[in-house]
Amino acid sequence: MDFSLSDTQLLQWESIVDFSRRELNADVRVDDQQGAFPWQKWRKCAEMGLLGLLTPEEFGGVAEGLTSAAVSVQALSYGCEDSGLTHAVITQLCCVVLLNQYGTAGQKTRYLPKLSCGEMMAAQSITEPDAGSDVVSMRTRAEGDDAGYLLTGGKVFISNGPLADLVVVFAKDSEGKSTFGGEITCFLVEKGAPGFSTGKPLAKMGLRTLQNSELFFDGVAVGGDMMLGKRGHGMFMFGEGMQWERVLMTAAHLGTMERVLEKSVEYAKTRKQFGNEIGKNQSIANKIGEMKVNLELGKLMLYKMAWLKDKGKHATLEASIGKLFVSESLKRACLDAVQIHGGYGFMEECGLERDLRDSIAATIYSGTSEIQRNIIARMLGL
Amino acid sequence: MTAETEKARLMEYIVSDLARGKGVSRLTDSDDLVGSDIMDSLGIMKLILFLEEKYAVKISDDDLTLENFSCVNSIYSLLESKVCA
Repeated sequence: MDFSLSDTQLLQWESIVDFSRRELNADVRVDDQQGAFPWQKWRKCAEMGLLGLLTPEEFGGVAEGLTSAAVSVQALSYGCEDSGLTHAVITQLCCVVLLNQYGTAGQKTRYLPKLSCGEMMAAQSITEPDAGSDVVSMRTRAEGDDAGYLLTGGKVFISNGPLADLVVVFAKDSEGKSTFGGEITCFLVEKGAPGFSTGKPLAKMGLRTLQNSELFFDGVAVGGDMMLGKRGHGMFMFGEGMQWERVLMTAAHLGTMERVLEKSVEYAKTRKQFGNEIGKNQSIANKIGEMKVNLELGKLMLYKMAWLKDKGKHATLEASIGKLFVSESLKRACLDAVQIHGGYGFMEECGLERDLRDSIAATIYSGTSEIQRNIIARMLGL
Repeated sequence: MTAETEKARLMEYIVSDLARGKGVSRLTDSDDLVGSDIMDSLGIMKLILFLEEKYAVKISDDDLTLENFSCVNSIYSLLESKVCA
């Protein structure tokens, strides 16, 4: 067992942190207030190679394994104070994973180079009003056969939705075997396809630079060549995709936690009350100590999750444990950090109130904490 | 492995774990596991982990079809193809 990062991973960490601090942190507060997507920073992320972390070299990527990609995403989130931008990058990476694992040679050739250089943005659309983690309850329908399908239905809260050039759509294939009321099949839909439209960007509590919207499919015709993976394979693709997503999201949460911890330590060492640094008070020191414990334990879980995936193994249980523990720890850390900073922490200028708002979402997307606990219990036979 | 022994083992696991709390006390090897809601999506993931650990086989992406998990007979056929491969 080796807990150390390789020289390459360490170098990558340093270069991404340096890049993020230098290129991604201007006007984050303004972008957050305006709910504007930072296109220029997105392009810089692409130039840095962050959108191609998991793309094979033949399609213009750097072909990292998931462990190295997790280190890179952690570095991005540690250096970059805009968690909405980081979330948009992860959404793109998750779509790349699905295309790379399940796409045809033609689909890969057509989309992976453009996704990896940022020329195209992608979204994956799963969530519906009555279907989130309970993916088999989805109502979006695919009618047709291998020659072509018509997609009908709608999705909600889709990250990158209003901006995406390419959408990965999970739909219930009503002609499939009658299990679950129809098997789930996955399709690719391009922006501008007749019958496909998006709602306006949704106003949110946090992650405001990330653009989320409803997607509408009103008899969208997709050719058989736009089916992603095999017919009826969508449920398994969803399960696999969720494992990758939970690893990458957990990596981002840990990066933010490390930044919040360091900021809190620095403040606790410099802020004085009654002649002493506030960090000398146990009530402050205990909060910081707990942040550090959760950060270190979270890293161990993250690297185990990523290692399992790199070994080609299933990580359903581990991904749920890691996502639950780290997202809840991040929310706790952000709340404590605001408290440690007192009145300053409550001000927008400090940036911690934005991290706190963003952290609430971490316990909701990619499966709520309640769902993660259910999955863990089910995996234990309860 | 003998077919009847392994099918019985699979049925025992499904009844005692995956179908727990669903009022299923026994199965036949042709009962529809998915259509009758005995196994949901997470149940199939659990079953895959069980098969991989118990029989030291690798269930690949190509094996992941609902047909392969629709009843004990089809699960056994998948398992047999892996063990004998």
